[in-house]
Amino acid sequence: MRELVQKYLEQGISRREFVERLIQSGFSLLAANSVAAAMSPAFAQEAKEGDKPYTRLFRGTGGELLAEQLRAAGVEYLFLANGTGVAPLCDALVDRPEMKIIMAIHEGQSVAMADGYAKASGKTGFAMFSRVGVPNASSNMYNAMKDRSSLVVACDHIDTLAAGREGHEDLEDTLEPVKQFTKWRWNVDATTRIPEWTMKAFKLTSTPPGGPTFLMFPRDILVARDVEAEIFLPGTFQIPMSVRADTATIEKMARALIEAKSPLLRAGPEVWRSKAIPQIVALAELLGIPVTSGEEREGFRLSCNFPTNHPLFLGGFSERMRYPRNVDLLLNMGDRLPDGGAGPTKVARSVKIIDVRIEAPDIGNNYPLFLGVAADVKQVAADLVEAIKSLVTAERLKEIRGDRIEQTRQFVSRLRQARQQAIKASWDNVPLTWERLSSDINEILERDAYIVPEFGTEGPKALNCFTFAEGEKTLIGRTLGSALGWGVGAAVGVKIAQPDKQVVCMQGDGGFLFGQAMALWTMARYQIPVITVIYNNRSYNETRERSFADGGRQAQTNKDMLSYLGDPDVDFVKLAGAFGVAGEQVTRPDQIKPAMQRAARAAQDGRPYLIDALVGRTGRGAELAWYPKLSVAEMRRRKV
Amino acid sequence: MRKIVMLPVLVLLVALAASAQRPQKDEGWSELLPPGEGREMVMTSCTGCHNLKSTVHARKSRADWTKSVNDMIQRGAQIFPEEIEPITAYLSKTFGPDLPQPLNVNTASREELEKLPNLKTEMAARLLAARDKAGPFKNSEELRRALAMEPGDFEKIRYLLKYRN
Repeated sequence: MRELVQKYLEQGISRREFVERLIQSGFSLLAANSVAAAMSPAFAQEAKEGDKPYTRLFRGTGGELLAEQLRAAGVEYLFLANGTGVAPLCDALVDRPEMKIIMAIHEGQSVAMADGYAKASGKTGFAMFSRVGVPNASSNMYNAMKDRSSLVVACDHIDTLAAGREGHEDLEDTLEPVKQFTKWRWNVDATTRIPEWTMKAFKLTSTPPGGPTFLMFPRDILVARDVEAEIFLPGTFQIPMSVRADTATIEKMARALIEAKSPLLRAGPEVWRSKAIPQIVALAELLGIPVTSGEEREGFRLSCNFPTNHPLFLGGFSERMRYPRNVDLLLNMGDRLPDGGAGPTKVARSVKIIDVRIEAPDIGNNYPLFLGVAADVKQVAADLVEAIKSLVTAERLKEIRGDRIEQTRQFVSRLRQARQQAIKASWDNVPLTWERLSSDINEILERDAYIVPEFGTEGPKALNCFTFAEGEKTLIGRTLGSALGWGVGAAVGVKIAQPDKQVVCMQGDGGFLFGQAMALWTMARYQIPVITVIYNNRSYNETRERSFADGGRQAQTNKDMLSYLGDPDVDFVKLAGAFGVAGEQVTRPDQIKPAMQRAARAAQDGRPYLIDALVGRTGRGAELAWYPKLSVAEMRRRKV
Repeated sequence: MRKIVMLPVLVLLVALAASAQRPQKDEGWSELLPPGEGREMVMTSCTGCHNLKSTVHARKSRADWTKSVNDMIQRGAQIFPEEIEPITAYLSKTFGPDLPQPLNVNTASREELEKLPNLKTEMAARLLAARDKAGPFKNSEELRRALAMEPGDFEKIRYLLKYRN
């Protein structure tokens, strides 16, 4: 009897079965029902017909449990790099052809691919590889963390009973190195709990503010057979974070915006993540507030948070903007507030700052605030529009807007005129200018192409040539983390997420050579028609320029110790060819458009294509082709 | 006559007042921009993203300054079309290829100081004595007082002197 009661309390048997067994042991029906009612667990209820199930039982190997939970999490593509420990998952995928493997030949690129996929699809990316590949993967995990990407990264691990002996490919604590790059990490040391912890990893990374999560699966846990566990069904572990601010806070914000003489709105990555651009545009237009995004020359980062062709869009934020003048209120919607580098903070203390972010711990860290609001920027913007409309008449709104929209439009228009004038001054230059190359690329590309750039400080010269907005180009990258070696793999993921859009990967030669040429292999194998354009100046232009700007010994002696990237001049077309990707080199301006047309045709035919475009170096020391020479061949005493 | 004497003083006062309003990031480099048409445009447009350290150390031909200004515009410098020529002209005229590099008064030797145009031997000696006595100079006004120079005379050398590296 005691066992029967315990089984019932633990929900091992149903209420009906419990009552039947009580009757079998001599209880009357009435008494049995009475006992069952008294013993009913507080939260136990009979499932009713039509109830939505939350879980389902599955029996199989650890690899199959993982695959089943990944499927329940909506994973369609698995970005995997080779490793014996991934085998149990691959075994499970043999009979699950709807779950597709995208194989990367380097762990860092598998993470970049999953990250690009996540950014362009809005879903969670999944990457897995061997535990010894974790250090390889870490720079792109760092990038993903800085971007708060929705990404689950996994590796295998040594058998549970062998762990902690620094055995084969084992570390004392493999999770420790990824701590800074992940929102949450876990060693999955029980097969029955594979689905639970996998579900948790997906839940945490997809809950704003995101950030990669990390799972480590000991080999014996994944190869275990005939294990039964609950699979958490779709929709049971997603948390909507459409958090609203309370009415009093919204009203305080609304009044401050109404009263501000010269407000400025700063739109950050949370706007893009929250799909809040329409609401931010509506708010800006309601009061005629000029909008900035990103920092100074690095105005283009990660995404487009406000249409770049909108009359209220100013471009990158700067501490000394020419317009608007005398800013008295800064409304920060979903961006980190600008740090001052080594100097003081960038916004004067006299400016009222309203900081709205879902990433609550970050609010108010560097600046004293007029108001800090931990909420979803989309909800706040929508609520603000309503609140402002309810507080003032349409006539008053018109008065507040004044001619701000027109003034902003004129200001930006004059800057664009100057840019056009400057472009023409070097239009026919050989080597090519970044702006000529980008302008011609823009003319050939489809209007709604995806641009995946990974540029340094030269980047704005290229990206200023494109319009990023709804129905126009979509920007994915560069990462906020700036660890080079992300863009080519990311473009693979973007194209998988958006197969019906043109996708262009834009790289400097320096960035391209940061361990990501191997992503071309993945493009070729899976017929992923990405157009890759290398802006090749045979230099790490940014580092040389910045190093020389400090006026140190390199600048004084005209010696470029570490930034010249010629000798040997990398033949990127041959390099692409080795991976099965066709391409060509462009050296003159008149070659750009025909080359891009060939690239677009290749993409139409389902083939990736690479253009190696020789662009000029700029800035201090640009003319230098000097580097510290060393010949090991000449050092030898024996010619072996 | 009084007006002529007062003019350099006025220029200096305006420069000092502007200096007081500038954020620390400027680090005093704008003090090395001499007056002239285009100066204020440089101050307005070029300091949005960087201070003027690299500008006041650059020595370039007109063609190279044109390239630099155009390059900065592509990178996002907030310059209007009608300002391109005055800015380029000012920088070309002020920081041409033949202008000596600014000298750090806090580390310069007597020989280096004496090579400066418009700095007499006796003045160099006075500068070194003041530096030995009171330590490094913080800015041009401190140096001018130490040298007991009239603002007008000081203007002839001040744009070639810097106070840090």
